[in-house]
Amino acid sequence: MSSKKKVLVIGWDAAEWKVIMPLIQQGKMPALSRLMSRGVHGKLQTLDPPLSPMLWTSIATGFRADTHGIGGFIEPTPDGENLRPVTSTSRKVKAIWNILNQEGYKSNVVAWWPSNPAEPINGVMVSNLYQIATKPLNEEWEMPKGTIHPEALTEKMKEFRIHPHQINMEQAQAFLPNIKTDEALRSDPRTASVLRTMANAGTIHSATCHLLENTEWDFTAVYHDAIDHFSHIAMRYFPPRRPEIPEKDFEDYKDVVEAAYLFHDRMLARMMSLIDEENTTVLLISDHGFHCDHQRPLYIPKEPSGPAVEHSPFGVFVMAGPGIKKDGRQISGLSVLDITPTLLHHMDLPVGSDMEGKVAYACFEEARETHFIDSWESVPGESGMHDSLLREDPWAAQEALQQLVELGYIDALDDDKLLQVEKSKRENEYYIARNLLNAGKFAPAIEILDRIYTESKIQRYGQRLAFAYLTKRQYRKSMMILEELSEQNKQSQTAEDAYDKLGMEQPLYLEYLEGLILLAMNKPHLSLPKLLKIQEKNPYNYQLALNIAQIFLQRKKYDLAEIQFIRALNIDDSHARAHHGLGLAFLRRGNLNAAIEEFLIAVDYDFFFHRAHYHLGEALIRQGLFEDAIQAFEVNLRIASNNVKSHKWLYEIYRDHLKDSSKAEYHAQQLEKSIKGERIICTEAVAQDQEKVLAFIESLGHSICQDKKVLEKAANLFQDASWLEDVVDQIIYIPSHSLSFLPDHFNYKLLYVQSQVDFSPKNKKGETLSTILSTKKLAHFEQEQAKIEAWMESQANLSVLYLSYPEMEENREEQGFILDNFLKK
Amino acid sequence: MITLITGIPRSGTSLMMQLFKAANAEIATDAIRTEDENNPKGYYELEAVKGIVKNNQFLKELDGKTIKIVAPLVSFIDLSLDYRVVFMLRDLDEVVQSQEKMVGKDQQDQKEKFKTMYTLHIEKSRQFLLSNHIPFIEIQHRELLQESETTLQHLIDFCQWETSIDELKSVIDQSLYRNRKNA
Repeated sequence: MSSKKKVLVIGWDAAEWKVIMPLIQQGKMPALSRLMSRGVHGKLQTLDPPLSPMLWTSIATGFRADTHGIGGFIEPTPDGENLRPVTSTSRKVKAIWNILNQEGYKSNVVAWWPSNPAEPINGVMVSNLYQIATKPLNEEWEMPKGTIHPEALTEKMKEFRIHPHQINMEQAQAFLPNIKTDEALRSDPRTASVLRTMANAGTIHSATCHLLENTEWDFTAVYHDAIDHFSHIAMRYFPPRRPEIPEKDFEDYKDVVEAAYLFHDRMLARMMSLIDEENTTVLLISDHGFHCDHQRPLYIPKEPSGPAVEHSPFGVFVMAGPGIKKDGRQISGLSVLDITPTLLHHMDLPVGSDMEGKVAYACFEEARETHFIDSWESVPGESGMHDSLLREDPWAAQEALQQLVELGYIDALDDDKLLQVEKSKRENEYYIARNLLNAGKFAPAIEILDRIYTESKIQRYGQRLAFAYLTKRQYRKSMMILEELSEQNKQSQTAEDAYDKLGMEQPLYLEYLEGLILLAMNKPHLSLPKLLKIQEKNPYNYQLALNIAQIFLQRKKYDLAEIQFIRALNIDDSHARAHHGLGLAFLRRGNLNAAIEEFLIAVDYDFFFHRAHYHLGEALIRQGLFEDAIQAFEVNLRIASNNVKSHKWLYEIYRDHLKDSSKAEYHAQQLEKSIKGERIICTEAVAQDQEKVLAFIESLGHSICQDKKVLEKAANLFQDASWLEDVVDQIIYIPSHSLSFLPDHFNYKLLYVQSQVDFSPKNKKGETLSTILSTKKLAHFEQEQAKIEAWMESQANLSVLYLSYPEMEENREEQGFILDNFLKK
Repeated sequence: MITLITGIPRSGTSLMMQLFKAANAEIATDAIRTEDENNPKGYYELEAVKGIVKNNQFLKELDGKTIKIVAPLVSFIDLSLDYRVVFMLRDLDEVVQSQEKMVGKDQQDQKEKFKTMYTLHIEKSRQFLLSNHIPFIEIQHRELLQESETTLQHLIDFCQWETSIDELKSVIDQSLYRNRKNA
């Protein structure tokens, strides 16, 4: 029988690599540096919304909020009239400590969020209410019922609590150097918050150290919220000083954030000294990061959870111990959902197939198959969860109480209080809707957003709804909501939601949304001016720069796209998307070496970014680096196994360049499985000779699609390409602007009609069309031509036949023969 | 001792109160809520029960009487007093349908949520009674109407009534079994 693997999980809410790395380089975080050097580390992708009780429950369960049941910060009390912090009884699924409980493990869990009331696990649970001082120092500091399990430890655990008033000046000075000499600073509410956070962290740390030293345990998990609190208080004062920050405030509070990290490193060092490092796996994580540079938002929205705009999308991940790679390497592609599956795999326990995260195999020294089960929820056993009668959806319970009021069985709830409860309920539903959108579950998200927006007309609900419709290509509905929101804005005197999450004032955000809708409707000429105008006021908005860059890319204005991608990278150079976009711009301009470099950086930042691997392969093929291209396409297929294009390229490489017929055959078979058939299309740079050419083709006995509805759909291919399934054995005219929306799962034969511009007969003055066309029209023609050729270049296994009408007129028989040959199956 | 009639609203609690009245039990009611189309024979309720979450002291005055307290509120009783309980149970689809009619709103989209909550309320109430050693019987609404003799005998035995089954049977009006779920 294998012995249990010992694991210590340390949660540092909001810990940010951009703060940590410089401190490590300066030698100021030796404990973390040592942990990293003997293990692996990387970025941990957060979820939306980046709200801690939801995220830490996702970390502990492997599920998103719509499954695990923790949908926000607060919930109604059992009497239905009041609100309280979210409790552990609202969690619907097992956390990792419950699974371990069933498997005979002994666990300590300290201050996890949410964990009150403490669950009856085999071990010790200290709830997240433990560290909160509810009374002044000179009054008795009661511990709420349910704070400690087992209850017998309650008195003992009281010893480890630190009251904020117990923090002395020397200790406070590490965070606030001026505190001893500045009376005003001592009485500032921000200072009180700093001292309170110090005390809370010290309390949690003391309790954890006691348990590490004095209990038998297999699994310990401790959660610190302090870095998040310190950051919300003082990241705005973190150097360098921003112009809008008063100088005195900067001097008073600029050291808080660094002191917080150093404090945590010392706590880490202490914990490491209490464990057997050789035989304990340590996992240190944060649920999200915290903007600490020019991306710190200028405004915090005046809405519940508004401060979450300060959170950045990547937290930290460090893992070291037996069975974990030991070379300090960086790994990528991890999400908060992966923590529980990874730990279960590491501890030789099955992973639930229903869990939404994956095992981070890259962490482990040895490759080992994961044992999967359908779900831990259906595995019986003593899990240490609360009694099922205590676990209920508090919002559903509140609704049931309301039902009793409506039926006349209980007194009506206080109207004001009920209003607050209903507002909070809608807000929680908003978070669940965002969680669903983040998971790609648009239909249930839209249902919720539609209802809560209709009920309340709150702007941010409407904005999110408009965005959801946009993502689902329901442009008309998106526009309708946008118009309504704009109208509301005009009428509103004091907007409840003054600022949105992008730090833009309300009207500009709506313009941004409109810009995105227009872009999605393939109207970049209307979208671009709006987005550029917004960019003037929001120069540090990464997403905006990316949107604008994508428009330029789409319009084949690669030089302008480059400028915007570089701008995005100057804002934040650690995003794979911008590197990939820049690489594409380089690729389309033929700057292959630069393109390859950018694609390599993109996959370095995000190994699972499959498009980056694909385009890397494309660039490598053009460089004639076929072996390297194969690798890139193979990785792309491992991540996105249904990418037909990669199979097409690999087939071509093996068939034409490496002359490996068996591998070519393999990819041909994969293509056959994926390819749904062949389609014959016709296009032209400008609609000039289209009708004459098609008439010629038809006269040879080939079938041309004349259906007006189909032709209209072809012109709007961006909206829907599914109709192509039904158009078989007919030649379809596809305007050049629609080519890039053709689906990958067909082989194409392209009849490319060359326009007369270059072949036009001379007039009496000896001029050809190309000499008499206006510059504008000529530029337009050349642009369209470039689009077609760019699309052709990106297609593998595309057959092209160039046609020109003059030639068809002159050599009818020969052209007919060539055409018949090309079109035969 | 106080007799409690409990159950999820619309599970036959008012009918049970009528049976107790027919058995000459003393009913604690103030007749504030009078009969209507949902309960043509009356509700038999005490207004003070509506505030039981905040104040249960009124129970001290009810020794020897029978009172209706719907299921989620049973756990708010004063445990210093003695009780026996008749727990009405009914198919939850029928309960929810009946409630929907009573509130006059379409609640189809909340049906499953209410059923889940009511299942929990029933179990919580049951566990509350068991853990506090309060004697109780469970009466199925459908059985009361369709196999009334057996069920009524069970009730008579539990309450130690001298009333005859026939006297009680006359109270049960089949025509009022609406919102019936087809077998």
